[in-house]
Amino acid sequence: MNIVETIWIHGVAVKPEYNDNINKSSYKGWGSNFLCENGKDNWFHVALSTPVIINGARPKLSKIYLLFSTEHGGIGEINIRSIHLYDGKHKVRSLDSLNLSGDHSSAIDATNTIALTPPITIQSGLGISIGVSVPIGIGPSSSFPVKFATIGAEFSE
Amino acid sequence: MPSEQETEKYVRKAAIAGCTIMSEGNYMLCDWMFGGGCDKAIEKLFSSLPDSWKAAGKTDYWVVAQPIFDMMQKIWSDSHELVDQTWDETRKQLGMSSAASPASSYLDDWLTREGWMESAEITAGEFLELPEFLASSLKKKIALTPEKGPWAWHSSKWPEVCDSDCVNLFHKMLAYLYGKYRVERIADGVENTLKYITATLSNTEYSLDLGLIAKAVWVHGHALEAETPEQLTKTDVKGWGGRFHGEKDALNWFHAALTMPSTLGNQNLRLSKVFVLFKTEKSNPQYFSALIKHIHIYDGAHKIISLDNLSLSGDHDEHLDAQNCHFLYPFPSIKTGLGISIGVHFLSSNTSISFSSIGADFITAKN
Repeated sequence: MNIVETIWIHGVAVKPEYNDNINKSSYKGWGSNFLCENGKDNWFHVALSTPVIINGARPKLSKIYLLFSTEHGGIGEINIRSIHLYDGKHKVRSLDSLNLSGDHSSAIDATNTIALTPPITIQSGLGISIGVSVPIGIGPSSSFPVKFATIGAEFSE
Repeated sequence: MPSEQETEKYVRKAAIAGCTIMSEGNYMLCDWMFGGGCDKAIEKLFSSLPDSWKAAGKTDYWVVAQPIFDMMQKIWSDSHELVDQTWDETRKQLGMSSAASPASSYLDDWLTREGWMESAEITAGEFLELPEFLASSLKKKIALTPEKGPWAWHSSKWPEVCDSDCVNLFHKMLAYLYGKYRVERIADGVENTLKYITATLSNTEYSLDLGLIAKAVWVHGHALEAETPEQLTKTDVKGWGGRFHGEKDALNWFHAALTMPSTLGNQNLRLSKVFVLFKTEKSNPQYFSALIKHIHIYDGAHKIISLDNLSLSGDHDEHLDAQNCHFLYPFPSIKTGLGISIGVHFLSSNTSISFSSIGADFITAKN
């Protein structure tokens, strides 16, 4: 399968769905950092400028990359539970029960690379929605950080 | 290279010649374009129907509609043949070598974006030549139902046993609906395609090969940013898109940025279409909806196209249709970042607009 185009977007483009469940959002040169509230799961969304036609042909989305990091919060660890892929309004793939955690923000590795089998033909804008599971920590002010450095998508023939 | 005027002369001649040599089903389209327009064409269509279809008796309306349906399908396919044949013949007359025709692709594009799939309905009471066969028939209606296809229709319950006046009325209403909302659009589309052929073959500055989309770029709807967030009562960022609830009477702008190529290989690209997939909602049916009033296209800081006086509302967030596709003839080149700005007027409180996706098509410029 020949790669036609790989697109990336910086982590500062990530938006949380439930702002009320974020204790602090930081946007930095290296990406975004969200301090998630104790026990409050959340979703994060990012849109990639999507090449749906190249020279008259429609490439297929074959791989996505999610360079992120999570940190241990004392009693448990925040983790990425789900990644859902949207083609405009339509959910075209659900990846659940993932439980991804740790520091995978600086280089591509097996954890932050997700091959899509079969690959998906995308007709409009690609949206990547990231479901984060936040454990119940100790104390009311506990926060669990999740950081996004960059998100990518690979399109193949 | 022939002048635009000379080219147009050949294009018109080829199109009229195409009408005379094509099947008789095409007379309606040609009459529309080169003859007496809507009324004459419909009258001709109706008079061509065999009398047996207009006879009184037990009536299956799907069966009696079939000849009109077949004729419309023929007009549709003939219109494509007509523009491709005009392309070929004009090139020949101008001494050009043959080349694959982009004309029918252009016609398809034009129709899709100019209301080809609009719905419409007509009731017997508003139809001018209503026979006096039944007072209750005043409310009988026939509607085009484009969600099932461009020629699909649905009617209220008509009498099972129908006299000849009743059958005649049914036929005339269906012919009128097809004529007004489908054939008239095809005729406009063919007319615009002839202009496109003229512009292309005379090598004007808009000379483009529209046959191939060189690149299409889209961005998801939750990437849009509101210009005046303080005039929003709520913003939702969801997997399916972004939803904005506006204050009553506020005109707010929503901006999307597309990462786009200015060249592809060593070819320059031009922007041919933009797509704004949206849905307006209101909490109370009596409220006025939110309306998209403006779509402005920016090349960096420079506004290059303004689509104003729009009134777009409804459910257009899943599939391409005439409300969410915008053809940008004459196709501008974009030299820096492409910005799409959407002006939305929130006419009532508790109204919202959702964006599921924003896109743009680019074509290759010949010159």
